[in-house]
Amino acid sequence: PPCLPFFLDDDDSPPCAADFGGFFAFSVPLSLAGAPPRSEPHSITLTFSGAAEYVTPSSSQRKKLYETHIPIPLRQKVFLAAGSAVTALSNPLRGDMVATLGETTGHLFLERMRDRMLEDPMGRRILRERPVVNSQTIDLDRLRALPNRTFGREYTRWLDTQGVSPDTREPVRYVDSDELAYVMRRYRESHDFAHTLTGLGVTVESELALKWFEWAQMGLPMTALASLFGPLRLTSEERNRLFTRYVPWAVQCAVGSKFLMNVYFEKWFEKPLEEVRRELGIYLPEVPENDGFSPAL
Amino acid sequence: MITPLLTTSSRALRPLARRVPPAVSRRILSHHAPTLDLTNLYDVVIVGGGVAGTALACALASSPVSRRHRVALIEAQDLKGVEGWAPGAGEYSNRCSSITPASYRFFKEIGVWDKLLHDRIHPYQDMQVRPPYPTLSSSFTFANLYPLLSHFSPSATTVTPGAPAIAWMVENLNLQRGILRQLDELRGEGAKCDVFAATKVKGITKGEAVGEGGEEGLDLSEWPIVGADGVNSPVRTFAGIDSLGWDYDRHGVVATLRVDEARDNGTAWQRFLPTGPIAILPVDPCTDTISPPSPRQLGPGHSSLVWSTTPRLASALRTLPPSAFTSLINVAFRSSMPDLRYLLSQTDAVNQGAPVDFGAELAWREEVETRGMDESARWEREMAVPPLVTDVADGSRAVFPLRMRNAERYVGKRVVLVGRAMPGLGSGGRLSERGRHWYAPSPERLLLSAVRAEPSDARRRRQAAPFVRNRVCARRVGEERRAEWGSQVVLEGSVVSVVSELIDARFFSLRRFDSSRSSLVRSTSQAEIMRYAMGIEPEVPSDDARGGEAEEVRATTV
Repeated sequence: PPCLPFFLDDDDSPPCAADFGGFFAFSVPLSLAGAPPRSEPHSITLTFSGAAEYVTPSSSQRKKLYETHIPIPLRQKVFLAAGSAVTALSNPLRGDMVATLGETTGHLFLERMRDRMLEDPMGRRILRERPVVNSQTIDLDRLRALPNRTFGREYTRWLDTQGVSPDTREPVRYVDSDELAYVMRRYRESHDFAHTLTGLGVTVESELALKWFEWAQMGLPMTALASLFGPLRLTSEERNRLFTRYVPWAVQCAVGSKFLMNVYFEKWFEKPLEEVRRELGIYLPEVPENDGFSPAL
Repeated sequence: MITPLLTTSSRALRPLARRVPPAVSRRILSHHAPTLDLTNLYDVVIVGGGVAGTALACALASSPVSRRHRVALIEAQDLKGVEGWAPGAGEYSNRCSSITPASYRFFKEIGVWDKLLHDRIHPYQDMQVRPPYPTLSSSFTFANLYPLLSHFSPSATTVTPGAPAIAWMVENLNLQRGILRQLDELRGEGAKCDVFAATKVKGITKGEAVGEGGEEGLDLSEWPIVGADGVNSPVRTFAGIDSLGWDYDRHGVVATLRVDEARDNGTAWQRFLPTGPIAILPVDPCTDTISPPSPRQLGPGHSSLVWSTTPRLASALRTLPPSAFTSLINVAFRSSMPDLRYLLSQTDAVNQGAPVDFGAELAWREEVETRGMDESARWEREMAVPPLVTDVADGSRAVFPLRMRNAERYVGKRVVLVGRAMPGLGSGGRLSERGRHWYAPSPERLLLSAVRAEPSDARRRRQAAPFVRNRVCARRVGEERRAEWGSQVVLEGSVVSVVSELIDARFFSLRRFDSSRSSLVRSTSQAEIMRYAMGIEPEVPSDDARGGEAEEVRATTV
């Protein structure tokens, strides 16, 4: 976790004069320091310069609801969201910043996604069983051995040609509910399945088209930000192509297809890819022959 | 078995400006038919022997002024079953009424309250009303009714010393039995009230002739007929009074439930769902009506369910297996809306045998939502919902269609209508008792006003018309609100709804209806109005703008 400045404490009390005590390098005897402004126990350390700093233990007051959980107060979340937005925009390859942005801004929309899952029997099953997608839970060798044009085979083919693995997902950290953290995790892990289904690669353009698809389906603010600001990094020709051809397809396809969070992908590996696409209502974009944009499948 | 033909003599049609002593009137009415004898002359005839009719007969008999009048009470069904009602200890009828403090006072005055079976009466001290989505508005609790949380103003009803109750849950049969017993006792003391049980009214006519041979008739002087005979009242039809209204597209499911005994059962619970409100009212006895809520010593709590919902869902609920039904009630109070929507959509599947376990689904959701909560948060969450429903009494499930019907006016030419027929729903009794008490502090005044009905007929029609128009306006307002607030429930079918619709339509004209009005102001006014409607405060809250209108509403609200 990033190192937090000392004045951003782990409680929600407003900053007071004592927060800035460290700025002043006068030595204050502990007995005259006054009662701490908050009720939690503190440890007070004296630096060699004699300034008194209030240091609170970093996250132990709030409960960790899942393994990778870092509970932080709202004030810090706001800072994190702003900071990660700036970094992610300037360098979209920073996956951890993109993830942080998504987690700090997405609580309401994660709730909406969870509610949509609750209204579908398969979505409820996913919420109850909580399947995870990584190389331990999915036998990639078995999938590679499946016949061609099945969902599982094409999924592994996509992973191999793009050079990615299902283990490279950022863990969820800043979502304050373990069920919503699972929803976020499932959303990230099904991102690769969405790639397979829509036939999009990992070029910036393809990723942006997929972000538009996800925004139309799920509504997460992070997808919105990526969809709107990401194209700024493209050349005008690429942008033109994106918006005239691939974004309309992505939005139409997304709106007409099944909500992907309610799909239990792990059960469909043996099915033919075309059948899966048909059942979900996903169709490929029409790509001209000499287009620079070539879907992987 | 007498099937009386009620007649009013033509002489009595002369308007009477002052009260004529009954002896004179009896002489006026004479010799219509050979079979007529003086023993069949009655001053007041009450048609209908339900709670309203019998209570009015009892009130007439108990007041020293009206005691000397001869009163006939006609009831189509046999009252022996009511008089001899001796229920089992743990079984509660699914027809209950919630008696407000005003009704309580009324029953105490006429001496009925002491005749009731007190070990079957449950006073409750709190009412929790919740919206469907927890974030939209804070829940309405009993505390909202009073500015100072635990203090009662003297003009309000601290009817028993010590803890107040906002209402008493009494079974209708208990009430009727008590009233009939009191009537018997008053008859023993000399009140002249004759009860014609198992007697159907074949018809009511005006005119000279009594009827073809052999039929005896009850002759009526200038005193009115009281119609206490329900929705399709022949008395109302006779008086030419229309009943206006519409059908809600909703059916009410009632049942008697058993609830978790570990929690105290002293609160009425209600939640407004998008399809209609669901309510649980406690009915099991309180050993001590005086002390504050204490843990039940008598075993599992009993409650009465009223769930207003769509007709399709109501019929599905009726046929569910008991365990699924009880789980669904718990789901209705505890789950989020998406969850509830999904589970309600599965009722048809469960009726066809699909293995959906509502209890397991609810347990899963509760476990997920309380993960990470500490003890106090968990306790708070549990206290915000009713106690877990564990069982439903066999054969107690019933479904009633819900309709809004209001008589155009309540006083006609020698006809007075009393009572509010709302079968099976706990809130029905509430308003009817209150209304009668309010309209006629003394029953004689009520009947006198009927006698003098002619010149003021027009006035009464004018008074009632706005009320009816208000209901129509209220409905339109309701539809506007529904459109505005989307899935926010338009309140229907409960005291709160009647009252709030009255507020909106009556006190705030449609022009001034303003959704940007602060909700705090609205809720304060609504609380005041609710107190009035529940009989806790005698006065309609008035302000200058609506002082005159308050009088009118008082006269027409029943």
